[in-house]
Amino acid sequence: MKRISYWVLSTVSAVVLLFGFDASQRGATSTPTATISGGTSGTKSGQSSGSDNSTSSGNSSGNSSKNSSGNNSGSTRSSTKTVTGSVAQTQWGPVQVELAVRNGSITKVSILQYPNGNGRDVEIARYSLPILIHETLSSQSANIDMVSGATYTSTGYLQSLQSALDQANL
Amino acid sequence: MTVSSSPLQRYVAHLMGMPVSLALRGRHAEDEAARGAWERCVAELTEVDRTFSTYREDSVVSRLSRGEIDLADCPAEVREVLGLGEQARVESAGAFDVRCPGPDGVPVLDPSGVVKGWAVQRASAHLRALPDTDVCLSAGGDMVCHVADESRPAWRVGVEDPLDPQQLVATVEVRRGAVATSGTAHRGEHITDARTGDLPSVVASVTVLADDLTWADIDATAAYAMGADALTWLRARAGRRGVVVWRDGRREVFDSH
Repeated sequence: MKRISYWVLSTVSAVVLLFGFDASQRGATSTPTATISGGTSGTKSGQSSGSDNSTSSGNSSGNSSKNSSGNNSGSTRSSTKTVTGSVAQTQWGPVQVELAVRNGSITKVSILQYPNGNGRDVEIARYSLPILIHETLSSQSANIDMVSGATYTSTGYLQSLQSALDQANL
Repeated sequence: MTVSSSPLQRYVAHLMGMPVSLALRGRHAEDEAARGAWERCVAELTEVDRTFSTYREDSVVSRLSRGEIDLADCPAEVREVLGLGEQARVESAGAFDVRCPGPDGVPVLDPSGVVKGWAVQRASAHLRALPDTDVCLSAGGDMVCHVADESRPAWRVGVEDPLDPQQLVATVEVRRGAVATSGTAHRGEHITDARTGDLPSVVASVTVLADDLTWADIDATAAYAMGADALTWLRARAGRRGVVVWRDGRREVFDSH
């Protein structure tokens, strides 16, 4: 469960990074809240509360039921709440994210609004998004899946970000 | 659009003197099929190392380099890799070369600049064959990315800061393609300009995104070896994107799509 919530959180942050990266938001850990109002920050730190100000219920899965069932076993007794974030204006257009929260953990992220709306444009937008250049960005706030760096040896690997990612299985 | 909360499963092995990290998500992230594909991937990379390692006295490449065997006696993969190396040498105007001056001035055959990207790209096929499964396979910081399901997000790759490896200089998203970085952060000065034998000084690292890792890796290595000419050369390469980090900390993005 913990892993799932982290994973989804990283998805949220990635979206924010994609669209919300400007000088004012460079402060790393504050970025998720910049786009998503509601339970996100609570979930991130404690992963036990965080859903206090969430509202509407039910409507848990738009179209991604295939993953959620197997991974959330044991938590079926509590209902899923959805938290809808406010619309963030980015240089590519408005972005709005919705979270599904169960037992204080985020189980799903839906992107309600993306620049240019329809799915096909979304794909194009994702594909053509620029490489994001950071002044400095610590690994903890980056929410990345893998690290590309100068070829490291197995010895150097032990101190690397990639090693941290692998060990945490995030 | 929905981004499903697909969990990530990670696998790590140490091969060819470097860590090989795999992330899978989707239908076969952590089942028998996944483990089988990972085992075949590792076995293939191990076999490649046995053939190509310059650290093994008895490898095909070591024997070829010493002139004990002929190219005609080598497995087809060796000829393929050397062919790629020759293409890279021509396209980089000699900055990239699998034959480098050895300590005593005698040219030494070292195709490792081609082998890694080529081998990992090829071995990733075992994993990419898993139905409805997303793959990110990295060997020492160079990776193949594959997203099988359009509803799932791209792989997010952080580009390490060569001047401070605990930091990132950039983030890139890749659905299908490869990311390779050449620089000095972890291995010290290990790339020289094949034209002069000089160590490049003005470039700290080069990161290249391309359709496959064979060429992402070759281009990153070649551009890094070029030093001051790196960016100009990369901008003329079709279908490449990436970042050059200069020694003074400047970062420049290129996109030749």
